[in-house]
Amino acid sequence: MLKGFTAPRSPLGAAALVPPPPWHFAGDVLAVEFWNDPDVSVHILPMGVELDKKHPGHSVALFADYQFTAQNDEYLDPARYQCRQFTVLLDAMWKGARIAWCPYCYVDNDAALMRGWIQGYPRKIGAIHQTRTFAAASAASAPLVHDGRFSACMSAHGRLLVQARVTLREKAERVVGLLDRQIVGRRYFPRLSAGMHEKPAVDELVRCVSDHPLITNIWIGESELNFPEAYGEELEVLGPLKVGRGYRFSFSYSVTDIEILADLTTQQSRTRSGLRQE
Amino acid sequence: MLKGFTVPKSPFGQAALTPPPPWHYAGDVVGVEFWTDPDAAAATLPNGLSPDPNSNGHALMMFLDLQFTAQDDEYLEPARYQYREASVLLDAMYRDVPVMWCPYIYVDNDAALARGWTNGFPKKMGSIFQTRSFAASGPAAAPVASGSRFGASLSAHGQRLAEACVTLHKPVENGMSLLSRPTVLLRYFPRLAAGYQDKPAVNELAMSITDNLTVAGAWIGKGELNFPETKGEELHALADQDDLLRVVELQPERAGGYRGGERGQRRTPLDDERPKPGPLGKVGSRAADHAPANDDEVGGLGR
Repeated sequence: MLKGFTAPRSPLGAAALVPPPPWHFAGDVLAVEFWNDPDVSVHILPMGVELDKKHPGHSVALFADYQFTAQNDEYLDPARYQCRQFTVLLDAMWKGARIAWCPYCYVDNDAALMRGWIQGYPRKIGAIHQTRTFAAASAASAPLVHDGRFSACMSAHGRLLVQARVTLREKAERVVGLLDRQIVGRRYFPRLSAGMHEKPAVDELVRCVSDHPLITNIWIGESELNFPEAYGEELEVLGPLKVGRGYRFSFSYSVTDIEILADLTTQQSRTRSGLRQE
Repeated sequence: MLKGFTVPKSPFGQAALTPPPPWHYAGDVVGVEFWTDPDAAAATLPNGLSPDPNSNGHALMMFLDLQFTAQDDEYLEPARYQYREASVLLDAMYRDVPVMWCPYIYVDNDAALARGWTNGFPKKMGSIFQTRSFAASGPAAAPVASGSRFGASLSAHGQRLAEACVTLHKPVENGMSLLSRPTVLLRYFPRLAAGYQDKPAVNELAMSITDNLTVAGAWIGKGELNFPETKGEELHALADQDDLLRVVELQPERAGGYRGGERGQRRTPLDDERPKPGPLGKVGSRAADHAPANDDEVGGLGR
């Protein structure tokens, strides 16, 4: 009997891309709040998801530098289980609940790519970097202080896709206006059989369930953000018309479950969900 | 309406990891035939496949240097659509049809990863290299000639997983004979909902259907192959049992081997060399079988 939570399934289950949940994450984030053109960003939403008319075009560009572990000290295998990520989250509504829709997400690691597909994040591979902070004082250590500057960028296949800069202004107790919505994604797995290319085997709207979310060492400041145009991507059409606050913080959370909101292969949606209603 | 054959689905369908089929490939191959422990080979088989009693443990390690295109001149975007691949293919039986089973495969490109998962290839990311051959002669040119040597390697996450070297002996008259079996794969996509994590959403045995397969410039010679032991992989469990191995070195004459006809002549690989396509041939491009949701429901491999 083959074992493993994902492919490749193998005799011992040690070859699978991802060990089974519970999954635990910890890392640092550089984030920029921005507004894109709602007349354009409305077209990135799947059926059943609408723009949030109270916050049209409000979005977050989020760079994460994080570490993963499951039940076997995976965090001691940094080559395989550390990951860098870039995510766009767009304010939206689903059946009256305020949600954050994830249209695009990039990672630099295959285990993270597979976890993303399973969780409904449409991940691709990118090269992602952000300024880090170190304890030993130096011109290179980038301390978390007033006027501290942090940059981040994402590229893929030799093309620059995102550039961001945050200048820290003040420490904060909470990340007001950021990550205060449940994230909704789309689990999608196509068929390759002739005639079935547009009839996916899996097409589900899902709510990402995070356990024990913790956000700490929060700094808020000013920001810059740019999505250069690139072949083979549609990120630039979600680019900023206006940029808001910048954030730098550390986070951790766990994943043991996901909630299926709707099965788009049958157009059936669940009548009850864990989403908070307005 | 969002478009795209895979995620991310987007307004114009340009952001998807891979464009929709037809998909066309051309490339160079360094391959090593080897024999592994039959029990180790059998242990990798999914339900629905059984060991080939005539060649259990017979396997092929392939290193490919590939270029892809679909309908939009993708081959002119080398950063996104060239990739390298390393795969193991094991002899097996699907009912009474001799097939190859792919337990492990690695690529260095996300578009190839997504196509692989869609096909049923259990692709992971790796760093893959092979000696290339150049037309201008010189000590670094590695000509395709008797006595020439070609190295290849696979590593991932900082570990070396496989290394091979082939020494060319002579051209092969019929290169197709080296790939005489269809490849059977497992399309697998798990659920994450609590209570369903061992009940995958997709769990299908599928056959990879290759149209217009062309092999050109095939050479045969001596092979060496090594699978170092690594953490987080089980490739080394398939390590070869012989020191001296047969080698396959394939080179296409040109990418034009795939010209046209992608809709015209769907066929399994080399079914012209197999007088009877067997049940797989009749299944065509549909999944060959629906594997049970849980591998142990029908007793695994009876081992």
